[in-house]
Amino acid sequence: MDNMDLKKISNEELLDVYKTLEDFLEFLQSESDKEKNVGENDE
Amino acid sequence: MMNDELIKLIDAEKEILSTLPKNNIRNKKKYVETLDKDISDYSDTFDKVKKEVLKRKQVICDKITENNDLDVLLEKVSLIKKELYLFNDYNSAYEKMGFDKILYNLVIDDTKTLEDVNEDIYACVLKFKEAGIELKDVNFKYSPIAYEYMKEFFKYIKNLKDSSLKNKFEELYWQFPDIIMHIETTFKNLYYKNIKVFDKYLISLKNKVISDNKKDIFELYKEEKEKYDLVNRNNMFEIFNKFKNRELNPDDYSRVKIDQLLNTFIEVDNIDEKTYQDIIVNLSKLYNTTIEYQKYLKYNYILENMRKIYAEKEKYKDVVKIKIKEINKEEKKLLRLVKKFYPLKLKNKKPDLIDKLNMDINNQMKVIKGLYESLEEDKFNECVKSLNDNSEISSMLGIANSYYIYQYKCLKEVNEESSFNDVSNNIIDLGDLLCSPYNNLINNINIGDDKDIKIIISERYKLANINISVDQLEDEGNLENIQNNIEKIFIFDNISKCPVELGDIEYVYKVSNLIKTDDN
Repeated sequence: MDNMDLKKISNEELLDVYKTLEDFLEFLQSESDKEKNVGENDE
Repeated sequence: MMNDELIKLIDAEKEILSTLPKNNIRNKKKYVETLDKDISDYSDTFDKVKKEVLKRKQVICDKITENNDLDVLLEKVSLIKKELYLFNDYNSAYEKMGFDKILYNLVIDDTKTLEDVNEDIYACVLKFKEAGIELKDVNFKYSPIAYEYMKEFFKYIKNLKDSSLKNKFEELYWQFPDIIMHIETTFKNLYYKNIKVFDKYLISLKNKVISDNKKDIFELYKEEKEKYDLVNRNNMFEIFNKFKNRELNPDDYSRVKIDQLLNTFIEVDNIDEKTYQDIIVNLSKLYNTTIEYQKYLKYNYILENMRKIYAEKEKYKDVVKIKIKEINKEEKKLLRLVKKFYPLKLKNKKPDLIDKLNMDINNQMKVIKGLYESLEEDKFNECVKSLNDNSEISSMLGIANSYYIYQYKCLKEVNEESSFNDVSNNIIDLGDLLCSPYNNLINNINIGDDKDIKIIISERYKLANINISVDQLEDEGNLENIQNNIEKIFIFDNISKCPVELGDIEYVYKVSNLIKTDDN
């Protein structure tokens, strides 16, 4: 993933990549927040 | 393809995450650690992608530069516009100096506070000063009540909010509730006494404009306005910013959509460059015609009202001359009363006689005020009398727009809710129409004509192969629709001539939605 050569992709695909990453980060963050909240309540 | 690979990678990552156990605190902690590591790893990639997205946007934005000529052109147009009133042959120095508006509003605007009243009085004093007349309290001796207040006013002219001035007004107001009418009428008397000074002052301003420009000022205005409008219409920087700020959507500007719009105006396949440019020129004319027609409809209430006055125009022969004589006669009567009043007041003798004189002066002032108001109407009516059946409707509208009080009364007749601001805005708007370089209707249709303007427009554009039906010109919504469609064609035309392509604009539009930055 780190080796992505962004210069070679079109504008349209660049925006798709941006959106995919943004959505995945949102998913990860919400999962993390959810588990942290549950953890705090368990304690 | 890169995105497909990324989706596969993410799906695999999600799969791994879903298999991690979360059955006890230790496992849950481990799960969160894995999530946080992923966040950190993917955030780095995300930042790299975001940087590239914004870099590409900036490269496109840098291709569109601001046209600095626009401000210069606008300033030039505004400066010339400010001088046009000097060349208005329909009104006198009284209206040109703005006394009609200030003094009329001073009396009828019941929302005015004492501070507003003092500001209006001050504005009048300044107008006299502008013409070279330094007013003093003694100039207000025409009315003992106005004089009493103005003595205090000039004392506090540098601090009109001083409580002593307020107290003086209140003291006088309870004794003489018509105090504002006295001040207003005294200003009118002072204006007519000094009318030649004002005329001379305005002529000197006019001559300066003539010698500075050496050209007909209206022609000069039209030339500069056309230059400005052309640059403004082709202002790609502003158009581009509208896409960047998502006020415009690039989807509306595809070749297919613009061809569909063009086909609503003109039936041609395979438009060559020359034909296309001709169409743009004709659509530009149609655009201006619809705006002119729209404003014609907006101000038709004025034309209807003025036609009634015009039908009786023979009644208005020499009315101004006669009214001024009448005012002079009544002012002599007032002067006799005032001459008796001052010595008695000075000696403070015969209070009953002073009261009686105050009452007589007040009554006489009311008579004179009525005559001055009627004089303002007469000036307007006499101006209407100068029209004939062959006069263009622009002349009729020009007269209406030269008289604030007429405009006020006329607008109030059609809409009681209209405010003073509405009247002022209409005067500016109608003024813009009257000096517009694109007028074809109001400058060519005579007062006596009863032609259907919609048919004239439709037939005119048929000659240029532009389809515009009478129905399309039927109501406000349709006219706006035509204007919006033509504006879209103009924007498309601008895009096709600018250094960025529609695809680039689409990219900037999408980025603006995804990433909020300071410039969108």
